[in-house]
Amino acid sequence: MPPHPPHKAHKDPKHKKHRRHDEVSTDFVDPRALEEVVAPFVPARADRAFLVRCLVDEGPAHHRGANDVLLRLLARLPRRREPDPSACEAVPMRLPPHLQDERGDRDDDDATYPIGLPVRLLALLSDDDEERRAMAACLTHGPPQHVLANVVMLSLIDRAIAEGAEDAEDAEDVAKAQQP
Amino acid sequence: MPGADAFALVAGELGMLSAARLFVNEAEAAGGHGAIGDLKAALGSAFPVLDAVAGRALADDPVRAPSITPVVEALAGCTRVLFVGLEVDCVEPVARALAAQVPSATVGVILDMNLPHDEARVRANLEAVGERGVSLVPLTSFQRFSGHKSALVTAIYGTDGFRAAVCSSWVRIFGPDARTQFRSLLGWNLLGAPLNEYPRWLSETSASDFTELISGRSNAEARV
Repeated sequence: MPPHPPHKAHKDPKHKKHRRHDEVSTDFVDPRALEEVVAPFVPARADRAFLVRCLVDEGPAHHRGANDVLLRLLARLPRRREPDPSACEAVPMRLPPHLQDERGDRDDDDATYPIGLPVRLLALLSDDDEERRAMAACLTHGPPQHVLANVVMLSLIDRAIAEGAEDAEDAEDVAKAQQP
Repeated sequence: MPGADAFALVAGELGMLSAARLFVNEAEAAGGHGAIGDLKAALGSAFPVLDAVAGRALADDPVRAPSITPVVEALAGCTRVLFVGLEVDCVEPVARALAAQVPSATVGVILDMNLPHDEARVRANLEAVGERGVSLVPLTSFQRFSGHKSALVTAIYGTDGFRAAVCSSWVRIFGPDARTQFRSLLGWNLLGAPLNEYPRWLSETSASDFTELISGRSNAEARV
């Protein structure tokens, strides 16, 4: 069989090489803007690149596009408190079960995504531990483009809603105090 | 074909490029450019990487041991690195450099099952690299290396910027699941230019598979 003729290098920088045939257009996706969105939660550049790749470069096109839209819009919410990694739970990568045993305890840290789930926010929805655990399980279950979108969304909401929640509690306290 | 079995075995135990450099250097020592030309004529069409390495030597632009600096930089923060396909000229120096930076770093290799090799001999060589050694990893266990501080690395034997010739194990491993289980997917472009001969023994994949393409030619050319 003769060798393949070499391709000519494409001169158009906008040319998408070996582009997948997607059911919807995702040309609007802006990975650089998303890197800025996740930067407060993921300090290491390589970790951010991995996260953003999982969010908008992997999986079905409609998920990639939706992730981009939702996360960039949520990032516009007011910033009312700083991220607190100590108030987050690790998010597992869901590796094949037989490998969990092979890898042992030493590897646990690496078998998680480089962003945690800010579970403190779930207390606004339920006082029950079991219910909150179930909520966290739902948010972190599924393929990476779902799980990570959920985690980043919750992180952005956590940053925005804190003061509002305190305000609401304050308002309730005031209302109670005003009751005869 | 005289010499084909010998080259295939050395390529299976050292890697296509490492074996090609060895054979071309030996040919040059024995008979200069004439012997390199004979080697290229005899085995070039069967072993396209050898053909490329011999061609570069005849053009007085020999393929040198690749610079590991850009790869080690790209692997910063990784604690687990899995090479898909063996190239001792790449794996051994990178494993030593990583061990110096991160003593707990784990390095593994998946062999190219298309090429003949004595697994015990290969394992013995790799286990002697550095203090922790380099482990042989069965194809079916590659996810043992996955994680957010993990990287897959494979040699690219020439690319035109669109297609890339790689060890066939890469296309067995590479898929939507693996893409999100490893932080970095590095293609180490060892030859630069596309192969002239049909890429026998190798598989072609899309250059866009990789999160980073790294030039193996020299520090000056670093990342492409």
